[in-house]
Amino acid sequence: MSRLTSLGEGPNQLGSLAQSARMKHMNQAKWTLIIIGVLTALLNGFMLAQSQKEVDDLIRAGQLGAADAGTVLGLVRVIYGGALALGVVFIILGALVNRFPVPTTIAGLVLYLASTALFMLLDPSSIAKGIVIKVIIIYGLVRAVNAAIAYKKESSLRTGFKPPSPGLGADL
Amino acid sequence: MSEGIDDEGIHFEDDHETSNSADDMLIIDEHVEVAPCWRCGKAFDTAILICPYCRASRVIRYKEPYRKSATNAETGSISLLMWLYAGMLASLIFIGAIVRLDPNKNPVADEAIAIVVAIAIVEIFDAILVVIGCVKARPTLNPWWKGYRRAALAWLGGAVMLAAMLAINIWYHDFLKIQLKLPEDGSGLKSLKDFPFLVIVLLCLQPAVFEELFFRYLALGHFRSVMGVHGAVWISSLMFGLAHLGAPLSMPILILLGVFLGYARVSGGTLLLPMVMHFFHNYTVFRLEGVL
Repeated sequence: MSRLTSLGEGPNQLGSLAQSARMKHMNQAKWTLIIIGVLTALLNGFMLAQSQKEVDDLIRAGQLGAADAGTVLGLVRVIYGGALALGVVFIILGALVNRFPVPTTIAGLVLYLASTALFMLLDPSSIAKGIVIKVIIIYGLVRAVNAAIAYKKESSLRTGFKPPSPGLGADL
Repeated sequence: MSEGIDDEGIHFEDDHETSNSADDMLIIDEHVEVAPCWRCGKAFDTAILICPYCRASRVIRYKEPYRKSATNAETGSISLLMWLYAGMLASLIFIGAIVRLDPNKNPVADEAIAIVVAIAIVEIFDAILVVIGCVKARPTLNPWWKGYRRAALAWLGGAVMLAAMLAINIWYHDFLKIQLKLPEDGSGLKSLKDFPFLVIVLLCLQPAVFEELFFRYLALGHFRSVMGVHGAVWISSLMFGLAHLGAPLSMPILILLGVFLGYARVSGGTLLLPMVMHFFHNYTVFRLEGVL
């Protein structure tokens, strides 16, 4: 009796439907991560290119001394550069969701939570901005993590393990 | 034995006996071997690797306690872990929004007290979250322990690696200070040098215990049950590094430190090793910065 035959009847058809639903959640997470990554990379890439102009505007407005301009410019470039790199990481994670569902979805969720928290800390006025969208994204990523774990478990069960050693059944 | 008259009026006797005894039910077909499932106890064909009653696998990887559904338990635990992590981040945002450190101001006593109180609130809140995690979502026991010889090598190697990590840490921060022209005490922690006992408890001991419990026990343990050891180490280290929102420029080196502590936990087989190394790392860093 083949393993696949024994697993492909009756209640296991429901398992296939569940796997399809999980794939759908993971695909949603994949495109969510890619879109977040593209938007983050584009926006922060633009801001990085404009950072020198931004610092010059602050000096002209008298809000920044010339002596501190170097430090502020360096920090601004680090922040925007870091955010740009984060956007690229999101795109890579989204592209790899189908290949490594569990690590990529968990890493995507962790990075999104932490980056959102960091930008809220740097600019407390941004806490309320886009809060609904942030909550929706986090909810979608959490659902994707659960779906990825269940999908991986189900897949590993379906592909089977090594045959049990002789006497395993007798010992039990 | 049963008897009766069939449709053609012929008397029949049927000596086929049905039996409900467990012993008889074990032998369904003399060519098929059955064995009971290790989890639910019901017998099924040994050629089938998944129990049709409770979905347990024939191959036992770990000695895990009985669960209604292993997948549901794992996803529930990881969801709780993420909630706790989000709680830690939220506490940092809350305190950060209240306390603003201005490195250009000369540290004064009341500002130092404000910093101590803020740190204490965050640490106590994080400790509560970690305790909740340890009570509600203990990971499945993983076979980290690989013997005393391996543990001894891990302790020796860990001491050497700790020295290397400290050197990298110091070099990295000096590099940042030079390149970005940062002030000497950008974090404002030097104002705490009048409170050495509190610094040791809040910034050395508490992180060594509770952060290790969360990232190297809870996170690493749960992730290990759903992915490989390297993925679990790197993702738990990512969480560890990114949780230090108060020092965003230090995040890359803290992620690296998390990787080192994660592999120390895996190699040494004990949580004590990363705890001790975390304590000595923080103590040395604060001593070199002049806070202790």
